[in-house]
Amino acid sequence: MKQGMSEYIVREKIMEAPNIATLKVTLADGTIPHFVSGQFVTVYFPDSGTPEGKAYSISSAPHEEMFSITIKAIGEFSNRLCAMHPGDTIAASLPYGYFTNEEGDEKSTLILLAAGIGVAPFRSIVRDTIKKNPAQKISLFYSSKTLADLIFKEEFDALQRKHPNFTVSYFVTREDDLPVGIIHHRMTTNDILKKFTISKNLECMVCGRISFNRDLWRALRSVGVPEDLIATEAFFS
Amino acid sequence: MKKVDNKNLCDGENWLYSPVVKDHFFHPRNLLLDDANYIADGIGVVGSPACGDVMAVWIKVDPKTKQITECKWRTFGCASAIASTSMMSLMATEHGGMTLAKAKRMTPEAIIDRLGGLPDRKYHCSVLGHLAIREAIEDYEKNLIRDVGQET
Repeated sequence: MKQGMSEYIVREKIMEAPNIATLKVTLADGTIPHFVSGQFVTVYFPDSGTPEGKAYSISSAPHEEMFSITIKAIGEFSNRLCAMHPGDTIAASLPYGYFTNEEGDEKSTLILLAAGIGVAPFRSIVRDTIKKNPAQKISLFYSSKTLADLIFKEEFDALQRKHPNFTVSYFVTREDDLPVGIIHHRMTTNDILKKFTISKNLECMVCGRISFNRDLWRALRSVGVPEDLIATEAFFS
Repeated sequence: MKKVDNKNLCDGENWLYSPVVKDHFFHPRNLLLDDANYIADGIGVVGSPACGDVMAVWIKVDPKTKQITECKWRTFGCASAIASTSMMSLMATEHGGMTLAKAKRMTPEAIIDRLGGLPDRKYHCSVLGHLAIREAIEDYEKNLIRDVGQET
């Protein structure tokens, strides 16, 4: 196995949507490596023409027994991962990355802005923060093209009911006739400003495709959010 | 003799890059070509020859203020990669230098914004710039812990 690669075993697979799967994995010895919520692993398929591998965010929290990656089937790697079953092995790196709120202020309000599968690292961050620092306010703004693509909705709704410091707002951009509570437009900073005042106690994290991140970053800067209070992670092929 | 087509000359005239990207490619800031005698407080290397972009970053840090006083680099990669690392090094050291806390929060979006934009297919170049300085800072912080451990 290539240096820097570990072997993970798929223990469970959950189809979150027709083309989105969560794979719960452990290392071969049944343990999971240490990680910080928001990090990712790089998956390798040595028989592909992509020696540098592709990164997938961890969608579970560090305190869980297995760790999970949530993948949307778009290209070669993601389709191969989505086709996997319990017992299959995955060659991947140990967790890595800096898209975490590990060094943030625990007293700050965390604003999480997700587009599509960009919600994956935020599920890890939400689960982890609620467990470790339940007093911290977290507000997730989650946008998707269709209702079916709003993964983890039941979980987020349940967390919102149970934890007064966690709120979630859903946006669906390409469907009409949406249930009450789902907002039918693209996410903008106005949606954030309806609920929060920009201050140094607001930390923003943005995760989605390149254009989403760019647009939200610029919009947050234009309403006065300091650069060092915005963290980003873009999903790109 | 075949007539030279001026449009093919490598002077950047017809490149679809912003003037800032071209400036940082043709006049890179803080480039370190010979690191043999350069003593850095932290070093970060990211990327892989397999995918074509490799960046090395060397930083010096004021121990009292925790500001980055120098940020040198060398990049093996395309114009976007070179311009991204050059701009990253400028952002890290201007106005007296970023604190480590602020430098850790430097995002690809901030680098690209200062460059006047990059094509989406070149986004990963600014990601490498962001990761390279994070690695250099992490190296500095690990060295600090190790040095404190050795003193005690």
